[in-house]
Amino acid sequence: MASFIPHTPEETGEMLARIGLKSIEDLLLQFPSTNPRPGAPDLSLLGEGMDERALLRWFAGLAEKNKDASRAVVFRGAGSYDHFIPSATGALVSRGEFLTSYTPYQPEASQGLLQAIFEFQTAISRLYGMDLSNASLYDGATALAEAVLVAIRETGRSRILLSEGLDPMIREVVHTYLEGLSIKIDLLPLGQGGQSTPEAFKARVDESLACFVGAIPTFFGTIDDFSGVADLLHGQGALFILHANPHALALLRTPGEWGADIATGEGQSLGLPLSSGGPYLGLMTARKKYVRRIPGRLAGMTKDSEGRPCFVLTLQAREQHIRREKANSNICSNETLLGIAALVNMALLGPGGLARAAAGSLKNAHELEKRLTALPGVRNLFPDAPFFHEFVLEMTPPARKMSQFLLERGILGGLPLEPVLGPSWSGRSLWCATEVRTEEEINQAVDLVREFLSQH
Amino acid sequence: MSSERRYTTTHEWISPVAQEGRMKVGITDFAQKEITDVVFVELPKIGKKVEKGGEVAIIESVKAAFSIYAPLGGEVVSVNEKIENNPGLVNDDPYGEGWLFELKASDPSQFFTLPDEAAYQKLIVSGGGH
Amino acid sequence: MTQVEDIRDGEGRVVERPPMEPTLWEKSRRGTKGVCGPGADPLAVTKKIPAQLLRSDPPSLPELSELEVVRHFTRLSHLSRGVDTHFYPLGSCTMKYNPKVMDRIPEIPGFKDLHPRMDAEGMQGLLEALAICEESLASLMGMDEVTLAPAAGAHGELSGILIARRYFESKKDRTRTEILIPDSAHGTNPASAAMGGFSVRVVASGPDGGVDLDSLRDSLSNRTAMVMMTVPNTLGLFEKNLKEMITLVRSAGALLYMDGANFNAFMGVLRPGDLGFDIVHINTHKTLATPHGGGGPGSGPVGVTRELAPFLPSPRIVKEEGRYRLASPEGSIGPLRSFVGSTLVLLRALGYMKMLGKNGLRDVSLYALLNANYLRVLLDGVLPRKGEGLCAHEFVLSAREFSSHGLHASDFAKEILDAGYYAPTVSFPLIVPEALMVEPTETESKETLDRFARDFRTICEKARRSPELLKGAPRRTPVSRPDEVGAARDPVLTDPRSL
Repeated sequence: MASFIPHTPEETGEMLARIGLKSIEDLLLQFPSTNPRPGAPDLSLLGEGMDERALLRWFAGLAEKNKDASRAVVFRGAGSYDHFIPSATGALVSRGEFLTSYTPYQPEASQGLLQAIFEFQTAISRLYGMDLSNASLYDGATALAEAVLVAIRETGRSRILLSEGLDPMIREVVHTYLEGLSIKIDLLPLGQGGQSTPEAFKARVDESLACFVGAIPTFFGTIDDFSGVADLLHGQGALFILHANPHALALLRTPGEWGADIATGEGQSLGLPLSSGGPYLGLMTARKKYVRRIPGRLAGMTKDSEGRPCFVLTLQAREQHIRREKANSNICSNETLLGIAALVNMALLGPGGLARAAAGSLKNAHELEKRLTALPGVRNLFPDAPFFHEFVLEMTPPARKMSQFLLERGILGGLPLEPVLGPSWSGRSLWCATEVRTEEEINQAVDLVREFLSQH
Repeated sequence: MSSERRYTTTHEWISPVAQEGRMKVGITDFAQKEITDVVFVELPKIGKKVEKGGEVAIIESVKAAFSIYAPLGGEVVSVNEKIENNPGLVNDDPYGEGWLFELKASDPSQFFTLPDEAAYQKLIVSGGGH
Repeated sequence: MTQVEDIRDGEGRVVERPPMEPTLWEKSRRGTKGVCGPGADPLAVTKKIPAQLLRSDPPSLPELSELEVVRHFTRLSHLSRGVDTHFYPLGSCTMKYNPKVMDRIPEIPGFKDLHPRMDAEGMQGLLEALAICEESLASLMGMDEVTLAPAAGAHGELSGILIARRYFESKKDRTRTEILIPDSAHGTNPASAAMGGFSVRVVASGPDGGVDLDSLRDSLSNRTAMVMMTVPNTLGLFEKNLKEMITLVRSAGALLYMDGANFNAFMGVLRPGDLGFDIVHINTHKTLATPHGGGGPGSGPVGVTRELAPFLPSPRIVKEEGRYRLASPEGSIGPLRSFVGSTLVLLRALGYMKMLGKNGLRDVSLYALLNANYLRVLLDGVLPRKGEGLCAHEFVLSAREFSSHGLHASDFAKEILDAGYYAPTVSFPLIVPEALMVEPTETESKETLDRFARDFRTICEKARRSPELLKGAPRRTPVSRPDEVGAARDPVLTDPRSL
């Protein structure tokens, strides 16, 4: 079977002779002999290999068991969003010079890649209203966990405050990251109105706090109001971190405008496919003051020895390959290619196109909400809160049953919240409509929910 | 103990200033040459208490980071803010404008236990230290 | 002053450097229409949102036509080198050919547009594929169970370290707060240990570059939680005393972690689990040929022994009555990232394993060893090598002798760029002064290796004859020797034209 090895048998023979070996197996003399560990799966499991055609058919057989967006219309978000992606994006990002290159440690042979990273940093910074951005982290959740670590190191404090408006999965990732560091994690509850309240802040912000993290929009789709939060936190020496959906920031007030010190986000909504969950794109932006504190790679603009403007990786002394156990983070590989995809998308759509897309999401979600809450026995859990493109629907029948009912009929409906938030959320589901949903699809979803309700 | 300088085996220098117990700390000419172009100095916070030999600052070049250790125990009473914006001063004038911070030594008499110029020169020649 | 020599083509004309490309913001013209996608008029809908919750100005993003964007990024691609265009002997990175067929797997409808919060019944094909991927990796590693969650090698290290923490907690053993790491290790190892809340103790190498047994013995104690080892080590050498080391670590009650960044040297030949390792990560973007993408995405699956399996990160893929679902077991360290893993990367890795099969994967390592040793012999005597005898999949040369002429390993790297290659890894591992780390991988032909060796030899002769010439390299690239000091002293991280 193919191993993508180019040698002819004669060449292999010549090479072995040059090394002074008789057989290629002699190269294994440097390894010790071992016995198979009892119980571990046997190597024969790997099979005898297959050709391209057979391989693709094998994968196609698995793929057709999945209800992807072509088989079930997506009305689900909760951190992963079905957006329009221009065809040019895939074509450009799959160019071999981007796809098959390594981290641009040799700037002279990587100017294109470095410039793309620099442009990505620029676009993300402007979108978030912040001074600077890094070259990416693994995903939104890990980006936020890393931001919390920055605040802990910066302040030397060991208590953090997370908004209840953050995706519970992301909060759990923060927990995992802090596992070994003896950090106390407090929760800032959202009020009845789906927004945080000044009273909740006052009770929890003091001089022991390293940082507060809020969400734009919240996991429940509501748009929180952070008026006065920056001053309150800074008055106590704590950092203000916001985790924001970049798609929404084409319209919504930015972390920079709220006075955040660090802002993170999940870049998937900037034009990456749903991807069964990954690879996604971790975004991290910050105020200039924290430039030497943030983790991950940074591309900078400089001049070459003959005065030409050019790009390099910079401030590398923060990173693991130099500072080892004292580094800002252990991150090495990041998500550069996905960052370039997001950049290409932003460039193709432009500021107007991004705002139009965000407005389309907002419009469709509000239309869907209006139609669904008009059904008998259905209400919006936060009826008075402003929301972007997601909202929580409440009804008596279990949301899980509804999800199953809809999926069997070609609709991926709102996310049942009981598995995420506990038994009291049984009748609640988190719905989303993005700019790509059509009027017909919305009609179809509403009709099916009506049908479900009539049977339950 | 006017303008005398003493040294450490880790290539810091320390020198008393006019006020009682206060001493300036920097890195030696040998050290700045080894580090090459300094791009950033992470200075301690004023008021930081340090033990002799404890890490107190970090000097970064493009490709490396170097820990700076306290020559004596005490408290950081001031830092050289000029090098925050102009880290090249550490290269250009390591014993003058490129000083790092001032220490109020808890036991100033310990100063005289540190290597003097001659002893330090010997150390460099023999290739010791960090 | 560096001496500048013109590069001339066959007819004596001076070869110019390829031109740089203006930035998107330089090219932007206000009002230019790009791609038109679905959407709505912002002014018509934002009245639904209170004004203080809206941004005051649109973001300063570039405005270009679709063709302008296509040309921009196509030109940028021409200013970069990948495995598709150049030999990439970048040690410790395993820059092998990334088979094009694997690019098609994510394009099969069913994976790319699948929502990760899909109900389990709607993602049976994905979960089955991932379960097979786990099992295939377990068989390759010789481990009992595998997690696909880690987004990269360093992320795998962090999960392994958190698993170790949980393991000792479960045994109520609270004294184990140290992780031992050889001085030749990747920087990620100590950085991951620190993130996991452990202190790092460095184990010195012996004169041969391998871990020094006595140093290891002295460092081990009842404080040792884990020993992290890279196999083969970062010099491309298989530790001579590996079995003794493993016995030592075992008798100290510590766990053994294998950094599998160099697994391309012995995949299908030798299994970390059989050697006695408790936790192993591999990098799919190295060994299993998933593309590096200019720095990512990667993927760093971790294999563990049965004893450690309860602590693996959530979610876990479980199979009950013929159906797959995701579960979060009680003892798990919790999620390390969003969702189940970097699935589109993992599917490519699975495709590679499936296509090559057991024997093909073994051949990969055999020929990686062959190519590395062949190139090592061709370069014998050109620069001194750290280590003796056979190497594994890579080897490390030292340009130290040139330090007195003011030449560094990085100067050799620049000259290698001019010769039409990407450069070997420089300045790593830290235990070799002026290191040049060369890893040819199995997918390069004998002809490429012969040519590279010839060019490398010429470069070293040039360095001996007139070292100042190397200081002027590279001459054929779009730019030369960026001012890294200036970039770091006064960082410009966003395009000033965007403000």
